[in-house]
Amino acid sequence: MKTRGRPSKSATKPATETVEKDTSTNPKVQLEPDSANPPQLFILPKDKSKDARIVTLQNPRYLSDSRYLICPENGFYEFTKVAAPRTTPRSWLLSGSESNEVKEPDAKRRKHSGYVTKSAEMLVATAIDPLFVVLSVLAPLPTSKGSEAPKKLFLSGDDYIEKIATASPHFGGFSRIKSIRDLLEQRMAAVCDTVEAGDENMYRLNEEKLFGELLKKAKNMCETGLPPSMEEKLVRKALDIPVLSIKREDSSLHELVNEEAETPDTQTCVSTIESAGTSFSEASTAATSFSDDPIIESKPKAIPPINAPEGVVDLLRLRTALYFICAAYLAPHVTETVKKMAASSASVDFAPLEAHLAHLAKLRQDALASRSLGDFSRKRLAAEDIETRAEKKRKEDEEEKRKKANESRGVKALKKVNVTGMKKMSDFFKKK
Amino acid sequence: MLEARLEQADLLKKIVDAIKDLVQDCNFDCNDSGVALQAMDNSHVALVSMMLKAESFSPYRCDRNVALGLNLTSLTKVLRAAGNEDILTIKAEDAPDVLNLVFESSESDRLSEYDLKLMDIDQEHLGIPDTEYAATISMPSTEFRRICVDLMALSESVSIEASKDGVKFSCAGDIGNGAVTLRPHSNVEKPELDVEIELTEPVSLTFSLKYLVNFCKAAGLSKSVKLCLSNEVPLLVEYQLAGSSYLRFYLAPKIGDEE
Repeated sequence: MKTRGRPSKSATKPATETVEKDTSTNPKVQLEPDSANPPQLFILPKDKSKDARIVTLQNPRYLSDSRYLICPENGFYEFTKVAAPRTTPRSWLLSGSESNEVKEPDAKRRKHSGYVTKSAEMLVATAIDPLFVVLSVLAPLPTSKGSEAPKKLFLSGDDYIEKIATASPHFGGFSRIKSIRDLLEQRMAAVCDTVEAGDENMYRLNEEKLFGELLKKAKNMCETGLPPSMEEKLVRKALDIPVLSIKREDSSLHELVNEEAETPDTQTCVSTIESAGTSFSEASTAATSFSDDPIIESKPKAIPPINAPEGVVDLLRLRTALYFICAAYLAPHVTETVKKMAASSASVDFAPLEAHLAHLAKLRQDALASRSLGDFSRKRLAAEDIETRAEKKRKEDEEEKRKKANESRGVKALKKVNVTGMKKMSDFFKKK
Repeated sequence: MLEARLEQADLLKKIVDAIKDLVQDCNFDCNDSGVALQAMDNSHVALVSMMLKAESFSPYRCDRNVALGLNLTSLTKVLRAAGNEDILTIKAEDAPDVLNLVFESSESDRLSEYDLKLMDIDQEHLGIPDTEYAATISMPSTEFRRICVDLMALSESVSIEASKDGVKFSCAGDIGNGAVTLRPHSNVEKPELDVEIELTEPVSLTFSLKYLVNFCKAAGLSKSVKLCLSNEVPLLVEYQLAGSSYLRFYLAPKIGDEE
């Protein structure tokens, strides 16, 4: 497969494959048609081996084809698209560097050739646990629904790897490389019951082990800290305590809090997280906007501490991380079992969190109910509403007036004409 | 790019004057054959169709089809600034925001220039088939106007009966009734006063006088007017302009509850 990529500076092959342009540049400025296969920008790991390839594998979450980078030495990488938000259009200008090797006959011309990409996308290869790749064959989709879960059999590592290769033909070449096989088997061993049969190890998925492994990952994620957006939206907001009574003096401040509490009002927290979980799965495929981050970093706001009982915050973080992993990397049916296990697991008890969230949901409902009993912030809101409506009406009136002003006397007079018994023109003449 | 020069601003002034009381906003569709306009009144019972052939202009240039969406009241305001004898040039880009109008006085070296903002008008075009009418009446345009104005004093609608003997415009109102009958007639000295009636079968239809009076505002454009009638189809009132350009009005007949 031919890819057009730009390896990072220290990658093995410098700019030779940076820009492959097959259209010639005329001396005159002339726009060329869009390339059917425009160059894309990749950031690949520095230490990838020569045999590393970008291949198409089955996505463990969606069971659709996605691109991955496999390196026999370092394992698997997924591609994360980093792009400017659509509202601020940007481009990359790719130019052939001076050090181009003069291998190709048109090297001279290429020196001056450049390419401006349509959007400033960048595909970053980030390491992915091969566990997820192998999981799709360890826990295949149940073939017949309704029936009891089929009895899982012990299979040899080779069999599993064979299965991956059937699902993703590109993988075939790698399935014979020993380092890859070892890597996969090692990851399989972490989540499977194993039985030795002769000189071979046989594996069978053990859900407990899988959950433990995922929990370990989630804990890891929490320790390094959740991404700020995740922290803000799914942890801080979920634990916001609604304000019940409002003092007039600082109503403006309270209103802020109030509004925040009001936004997710009708939903319970759990559903908030779940819907956010689905949005995560989108986020992993859609472009990630990063333009906001520098702003946050440059002027750190004094973040008020989250007001919640001891441990609940950490629990929520852990669960958020766990759900994120599920939403991004696990097939839906596996996600279901993992969530079930999370509810009944002995290793981690989410009960205090559930209790607190239920408590918050109730508080919110109460706040909502009390607000509807004529609390003044609500009145203020209503007043604003009326104001905007009045504004709208005024605008409409103005528009109408302007229209009227541009209406001739004759047109106005014709409006009063009795047209009973007269058919419309469209009854006689057909639309073109 | 559109550029069209009209020897006499008068023509456009009169056309717009005749239409502006019927239609508020409309598109002037320009293509290489000329400037066309089709629009309906607010109630959609009347339709105006205008065609100014490229030959009416000298020179005429239209590289790409453009629709000039104009408010006719606004256009009237600008055209009022033009003298009747002025040379009028209209210009527009290929995807125009404004219509540029230049008036040149042929006598003095006065040159006035106006830009009129255009608007986007969503207009459906109706396909008007060529119809063989049962009755075609040609008469002086002033005569038609006079009949309509006179009868409107009595009633809001007129019945037009075309037969071998002539054409009878009659009405009945609260204060009484009235009728005007025209017979075929030819005037050797002043052929524009001729009344001609071509008839394949007798027709009798009723129309709203308010609309007809409105159409008669175009009387200044042409010495004669042609009325074409057939049962069950709209009346066609046509004013022939120089060349094969025309200004046509269609009006739905009143059917049923005759008063």
